[in-house]
Amino acid sequence: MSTEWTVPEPPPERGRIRTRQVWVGIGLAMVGHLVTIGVVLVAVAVSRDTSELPGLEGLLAGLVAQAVLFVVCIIAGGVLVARGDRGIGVGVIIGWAVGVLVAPVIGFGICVAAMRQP
Amino acid sequence: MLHPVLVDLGGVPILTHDAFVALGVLVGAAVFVREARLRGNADERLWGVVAGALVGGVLLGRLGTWAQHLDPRGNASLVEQWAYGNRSILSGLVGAYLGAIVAKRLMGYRERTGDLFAPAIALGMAVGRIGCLLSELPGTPTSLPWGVVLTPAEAATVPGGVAGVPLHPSFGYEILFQLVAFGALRWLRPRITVPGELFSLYLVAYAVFRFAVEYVRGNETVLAGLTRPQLFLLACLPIAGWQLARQARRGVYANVFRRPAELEVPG
Repeated sequence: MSTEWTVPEPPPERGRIRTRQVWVGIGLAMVGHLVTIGVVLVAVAVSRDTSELPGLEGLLAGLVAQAVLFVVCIIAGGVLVARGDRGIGVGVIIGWAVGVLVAPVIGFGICVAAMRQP
Repeated sequence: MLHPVLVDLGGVPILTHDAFVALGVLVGAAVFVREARLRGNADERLWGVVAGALVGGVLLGRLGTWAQHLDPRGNASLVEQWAYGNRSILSGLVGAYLGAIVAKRLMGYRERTGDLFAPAIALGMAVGRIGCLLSELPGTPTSLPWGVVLTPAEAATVPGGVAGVPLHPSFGYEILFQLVAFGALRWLRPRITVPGELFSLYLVAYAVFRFAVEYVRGNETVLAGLTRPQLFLLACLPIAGWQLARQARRGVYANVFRRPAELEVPG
């Protein structure tokens, strides 16, 4: 039986949260919010000829898109924080929340303009 | 007085309320970063706390007023609440508080962070409330000289709007409160050094102010002449007051009225 002791290698240190990566995550979530605005526009355009209330179709499509975006951002962000690039993960979660507050500034106007078009 | 649309960019209306909320978020973020630098707090786990606070604030700010009626049939569905429901700052603050606590647990961060958030919330809300001032029902009728008068066209754009009658500019009062609070928090920073106490003071001050301003805001009264926010605050204020009194007895606020020279630790 060997009496020599060996010191095991320490576990790899988790990467630091870098500000640049956080901004990348925020940017990704913002792109997601822009996509939800695009979904509304497409739904309004597609249902314009077939529905009496294309605005309602757009609203429903937008709500579904927002729900999907929420789930994707929270799950992807959480997984990244736990196992991947923590900066991007935290950024995606922050970006989702900030996007909910900021995206309506342009999103609402664009959607209203689309619905006004003859 | 009311300008619900800030600007129309080639047929794309930019709503005043949304624009100032967004601006308030950016201002709040800038103040938070500055406060963290001033206090020398560069712990990377703060990012996680910010994420938790934002997610909790957004979710409860939108959904927190969902259960308005004791009879569940009177409440909107969660989807309707998300899409059309009224937003609530009080619910948002509760959500942000809970979100920050959950995030701190998950990130293994034990320090108190409220003092970083307090000035950011105050200045961010001062900016955000400009949007409310310019697009929502100002308040109840008043005979005070600074009452604002809505035109018939403006009154038609807000629920409960009355034309030709001077109304309390209740959001203007709140903007003033938040600006004073922001200044007070800066003034108190070197005087109250126990972590988290500035935030506690700010919350209690805002709760007292909000309870009072609800009397002139024009929100629906639901019980004993009180509005929903007042009922919520009525439940919270005794706890907050007890906490404040306890900390005062411990001497946490002993330095509040001392001059800066007296605060310096002798050689």
